[in-house]
Amino acid sequence: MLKKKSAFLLQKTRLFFLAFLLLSASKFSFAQEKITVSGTVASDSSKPLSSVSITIKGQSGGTTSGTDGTFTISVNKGTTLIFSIVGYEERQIKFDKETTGLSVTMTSKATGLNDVVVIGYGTQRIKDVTSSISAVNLSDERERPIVNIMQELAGKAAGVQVQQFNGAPGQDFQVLIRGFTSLSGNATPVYVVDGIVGYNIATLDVNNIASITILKDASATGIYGVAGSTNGVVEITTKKGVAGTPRIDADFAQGIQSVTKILPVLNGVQLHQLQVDEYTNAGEASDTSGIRLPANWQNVNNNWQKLLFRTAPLTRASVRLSGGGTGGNYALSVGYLNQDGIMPTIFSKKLFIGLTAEQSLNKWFTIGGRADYVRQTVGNMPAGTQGTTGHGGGGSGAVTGAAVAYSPYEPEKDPTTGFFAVDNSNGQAIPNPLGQLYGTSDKTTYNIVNVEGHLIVHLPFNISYTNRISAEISDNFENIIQDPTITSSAASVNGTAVYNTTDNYTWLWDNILDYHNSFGKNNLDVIAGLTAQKWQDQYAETGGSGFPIAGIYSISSASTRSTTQDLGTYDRWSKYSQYGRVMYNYDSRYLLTATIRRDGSSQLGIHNQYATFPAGSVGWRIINEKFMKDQNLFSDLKVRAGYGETGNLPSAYYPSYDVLNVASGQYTYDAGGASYPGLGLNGTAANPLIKWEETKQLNIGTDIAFFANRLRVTADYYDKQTTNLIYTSNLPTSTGQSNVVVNLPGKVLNHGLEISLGGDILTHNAITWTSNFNISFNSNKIKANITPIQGTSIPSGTVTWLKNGYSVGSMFGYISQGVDPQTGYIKYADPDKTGAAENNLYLGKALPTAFGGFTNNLTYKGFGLDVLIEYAWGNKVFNANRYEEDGMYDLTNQLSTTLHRWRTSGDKTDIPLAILGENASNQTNNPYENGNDNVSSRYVENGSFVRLRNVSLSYNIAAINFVKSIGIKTLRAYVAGENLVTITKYSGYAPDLNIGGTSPSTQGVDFGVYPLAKTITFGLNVGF
Amino acid sequence: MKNKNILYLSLTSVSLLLATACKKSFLNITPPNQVSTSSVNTLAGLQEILNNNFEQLADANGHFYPWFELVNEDVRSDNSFDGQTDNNASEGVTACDNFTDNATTTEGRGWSELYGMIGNCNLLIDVAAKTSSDATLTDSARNQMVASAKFLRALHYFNLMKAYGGVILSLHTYSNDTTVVVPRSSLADCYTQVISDLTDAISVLPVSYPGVVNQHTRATKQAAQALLARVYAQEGDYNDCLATCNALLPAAYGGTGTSGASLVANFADLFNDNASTNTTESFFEIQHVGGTNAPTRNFATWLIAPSDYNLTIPSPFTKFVTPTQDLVNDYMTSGDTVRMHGVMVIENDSTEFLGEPFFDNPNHYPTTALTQIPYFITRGQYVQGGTYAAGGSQSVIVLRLADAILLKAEALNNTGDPADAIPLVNAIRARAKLPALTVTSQSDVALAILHERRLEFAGQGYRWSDLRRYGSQYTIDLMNSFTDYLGNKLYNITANNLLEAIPIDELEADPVCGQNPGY
Repeated sequence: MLKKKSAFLLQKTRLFFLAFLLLSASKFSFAQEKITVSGTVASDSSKPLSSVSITIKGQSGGTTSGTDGTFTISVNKGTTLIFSIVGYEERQIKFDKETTGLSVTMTSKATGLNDVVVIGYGTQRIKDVTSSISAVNLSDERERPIVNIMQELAGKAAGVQVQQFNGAPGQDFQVLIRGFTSLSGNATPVYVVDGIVGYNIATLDVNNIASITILKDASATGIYGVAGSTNGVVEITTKKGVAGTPRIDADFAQGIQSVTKILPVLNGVQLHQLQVDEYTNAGEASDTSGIRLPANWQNVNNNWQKLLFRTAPLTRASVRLSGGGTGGNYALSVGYLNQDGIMPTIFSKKLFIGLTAEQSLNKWFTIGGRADYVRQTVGNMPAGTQGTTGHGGGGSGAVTGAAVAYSPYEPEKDPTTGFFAVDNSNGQAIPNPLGQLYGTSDKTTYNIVNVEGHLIVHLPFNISYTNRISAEISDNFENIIQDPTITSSAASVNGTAVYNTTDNYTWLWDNILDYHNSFGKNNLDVIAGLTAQKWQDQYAETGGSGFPIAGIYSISSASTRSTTQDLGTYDRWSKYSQYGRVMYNYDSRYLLTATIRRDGSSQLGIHNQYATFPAGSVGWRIINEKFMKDQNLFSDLKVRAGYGETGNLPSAYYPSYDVLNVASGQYTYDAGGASYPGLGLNGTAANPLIKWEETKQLNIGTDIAFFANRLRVTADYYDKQTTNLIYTSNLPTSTGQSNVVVNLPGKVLNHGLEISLGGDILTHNAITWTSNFNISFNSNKIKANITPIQGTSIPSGTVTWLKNGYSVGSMFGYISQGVDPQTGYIKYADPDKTGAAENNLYLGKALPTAFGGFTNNLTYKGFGLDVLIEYAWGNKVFNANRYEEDGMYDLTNQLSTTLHRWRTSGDKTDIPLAILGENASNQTNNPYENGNDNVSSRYVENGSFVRLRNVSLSYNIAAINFVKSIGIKTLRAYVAGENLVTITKYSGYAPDLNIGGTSPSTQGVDFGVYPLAKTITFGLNVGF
Repeated sequence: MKNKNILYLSLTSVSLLLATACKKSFLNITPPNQVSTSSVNTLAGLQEILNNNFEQLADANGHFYPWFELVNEDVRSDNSFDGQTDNNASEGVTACDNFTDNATTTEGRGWSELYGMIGNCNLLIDVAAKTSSDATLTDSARNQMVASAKFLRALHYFNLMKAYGGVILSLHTYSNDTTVVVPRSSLADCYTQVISDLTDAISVLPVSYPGVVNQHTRATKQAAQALLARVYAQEGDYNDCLATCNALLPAAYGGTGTSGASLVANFADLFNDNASTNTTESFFEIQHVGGTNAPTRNFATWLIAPSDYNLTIPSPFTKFVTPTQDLVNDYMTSGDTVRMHGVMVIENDSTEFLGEPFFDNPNHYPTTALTQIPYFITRGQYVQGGTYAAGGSQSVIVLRLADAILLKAEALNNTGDPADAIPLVNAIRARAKLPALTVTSQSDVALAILHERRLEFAGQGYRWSDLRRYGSQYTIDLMNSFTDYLGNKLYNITANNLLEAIPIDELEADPVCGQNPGY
């Protein structure tokens, strides 16, 4: 009967099988006998294999092997289990009876063509993949001092650029997949954790991650549609419990962080000579009264960077209890991460608690869920201590800038007041860099809970239905307190305090139907789904000053309540989507994937809320053709091509509504009479027609393996065109409004080439050496008639702009033509022969021409050595710090490059003369020679680099018999170094630093940013 | 639970999702704690929009009525100059003063300020035009609010037209189908629109609001009439100006008006913070609430007061509207110390200062004299250490009886009746303790009225328009006649300089707007 019905269903699969199920599902019965299978999975070199995926053929559900390779699973009699893991051949074993103590040997095969990779709402064998997907190798991740999942992606996958633009603990990285596509939105990829779209990865302990896959082209990401698939998708799978004896895995690591370099600065005597030169060149040699040297100045020589930077500990610990019984598994983990900053008062502490469990109730139903909680406290850089340099004055200058500018002959603290004093000695108020950090405490506490629950219904004919509800509750609380006992500025107002809090709640409801089956050589996998999501966010802020008792800074004890820090917001959005996908292949030779997604969002104009995005790709595995049978060169050969459309949303929440401002003041028509708050236009007009920004992406790729998979090559070419650009268009002021968000009929173009090479250089039993190299080229161009969009500015001008005809991340300013040997002034270019120095000339781009990584894994007996190198070239960095630090127009301390400054006529140097007041606002009469601090090519530096990102050496202590005999299953010790060496011409702390964060308009400006640390870590993994 | 039940439950949940989530309302999210135009078509909502229309006149972030109008009318003319010393900080005012302004020197003109306020008048008019579900919103309340918005819209447009000539007539809130690339309307069309708004307003607005103390902060019939009289005069339509004046003025000045207005006895009370609010002479005024960070404080004081006062704001932002030597001389030679001391303070009141030659450029007089130059107190008198340092509370009288009386005199004279005009001028002169006019001819009376208006309205935003109304060539010749104390000619202006430059933001966003000639 079953067979008959199957045949019937087969004919109908192209129709709506949901409707069919509704009618017929209840007619069947499925009584089958349960059996338990348990055993150990090991490699062909007898090494136990952990995290092996064990799935039930033709059904969902399954398990993974434990760290010692053991597994237990309860299945129906006659079930075929599929064992798979990256790097080994897939194995399929059929079980007709209870089996214990089974030993499954996996054959090492570095290509892993039968490996399963996680794709949108499902999995796929690597050999059948037709889109552009990168799997990140995580086999040794525990042996790195990783604090952030994004760090894990760096250098590992072609087309994925990971930049640590700010070194402060708790800061995110910029993860950019295939370039910037939007002028307005962010470029952050979507994170999907165990199928939950948009999961907050901050709640995941890095130790709990089993695998990461990156979906890059539209054919792969299109299924995720609305979530922001234009920027790529990062699929994360976490470790699950394994049936059998409960086991405990513990990891502990202790590291030491330190700054990677100290910038050379002038000492007191050199600074004094510079100050005298500045007066002399300004024609004021006779009156140097601005120079005020403290008594005994020649005997004090503080290097403020050395006082500022410290070695800081990094501690990571986690314990995971996991196990499972018949048809179920669980894992409970607790993790702790404590990272102190390399500057005082900066830190991040994180506590993770995670629980996952899944249980099959019977052959019909599986239920499961997960909960992840994280509590994090971050000691932030106080506001205004980054993104400016030392001369901000009055406590607002950057800490790193002040550490250069603060006079070396000044004492650490004012000897009379005991305060960290502002350095007023030389005409500029330079805040004490230590005083800035100790004087303001800015702490944020985050509480984030991610919960998920799902029900899987295993229907007949390889159909399953998943109903999943997930939610994220994210609260944070920030307090910023200026302690009146540390700095005079806080003392003058008896301290200030600001408190702000955010409550964010999201729910997501997924419904997925999945059908997969094989008919002879035809393999078919179909999914259809519905998703609804709602998000809300509330924010409130309050503040005060004048605290009578030092140490008590609650708002209720403030004598003065702030009127400017008294505000709040409340926002909401919702999304609704339907999607479907067909994956078909014939004999793993002719491959096809087609997806369609219809997305609706409340963030679009009320007339254009829905859009449909199709995508498709095809592949041809030439290696499976008959004519390839007799050759030995290739062990795999596949070509693939895909095309698809994805959508991007505006940042506005309510584009269809004219939101009105509440006027700050009330106009009293009548003293003592009724008074109404005022309501007026807010400047941004409604646009109920705003629609999706669309990206069309073409991808052509090939996967080739040679010499029995010893050498593997993957190459992809892509072309992305973004249209209907979401753009804030200025309105004529005569409309009474300032701007309106529109779809601009222009394009943002990205095209690029990605190549990955992998090789098993040595495969001897005792010694193995695997190497992977990847390189990516991306070219970006804006072709849209936009008014230039302003990006990062420094006090003397704007550095980055988004402009028609240029790449995202382009910098503009004056072009320096070097120092005139006669006058010592900088000469600026005048390409249009206007007779004056010209501004807004193109200076370079922040995005690299090429970037990539090079990984090497060596093993020798119990030892393992991993080396990860990352690199980029062709990128420029605007070193904004230098406009003050070697501008030489005031009396503050400078970098020691200024020792090479022009001094007398005929000097040939690239450093101009020192002259007091010689900045852009005080230009000399010569139009070509002005402004030491102009935004100019003088501060544009080559940001190309090669970095030894990670080296780790580990030893498997569990290989020693004695260790085994005391019941320890795994025991590994390692020492790792992160960010050890960077080879670059860049003169600042690191070429990655960027004050503008991840916005497309603000790339590549290093301006008083927290530097990167290098870390040495010792660690231990132990399993019982 | 039975398996079947679980199955049904899950299938039901799919259907529920299809049924509920698919409903369009799931995606129709209105701003949850913000006000949008869809939710304000109620009595309270319209009152709040109207309140904002008035609040913007007084707002501390607003610039036009506290002082931009003084820049346009007084600084540009022979009444005052940009007397602050840091040229970088006030490029726009300096440029307006020296006729070096162009599309990028925006300060001191008010294009965007005025259009911003017009946008909010349009908002009220558009929202009120929709059907409301609020039963308490009566037609009469709605019409009165719309009339108030039209009065204010006319006031803003009139100020735009005085500075720029014909402007873009934007009469509705921007929406998707608004064409923004439009040319400017002709000056005649603008006058037609302003007169239409004011005629509408006059037919609806009451003479007084029952139970309200601050009558003059509201749009009244007489306020709309006083503005309409000025509009007609500026247009050159003296017949309609005369008729409007007669409808407005009390019987004492030959009119039929019922507002009960009368001249205040003491001229200085008009600019004295303790007496200038709710005077009998005021038709429409902007009342400010003083104090540090008060949202509707009058900050013009610190833009006008001299920098040697101990202000809490940076010193360059001072003396933007400094009286010229020529104005001081005019008061002195006219024997008009009443009004001179009413509108300005002369530090030390010294002959030392008065002995200095004419200046209209801070670089052209000795810096030692800086503390002795006069400053206007028409927007508030600075008191050292007082609350004015943070933001004053003095009311700004926008429309007042003396203006209407002199306009009637001007209208009579221009319609061939100088004899009846003279007593009206004398009524104004009498308050200033000046003798009656001795001139009789139409042309002499015309000059006498212009002169009287200068003395009466100096530092109050009238002069440039008064000069232009008298004659374009007269204005050009007058300005070109001035020299600095070294005898150098200060200006060489042409008819193009009578209007100001359209700001670059407008020209870029609306390429067919068109610049005024000469810029």
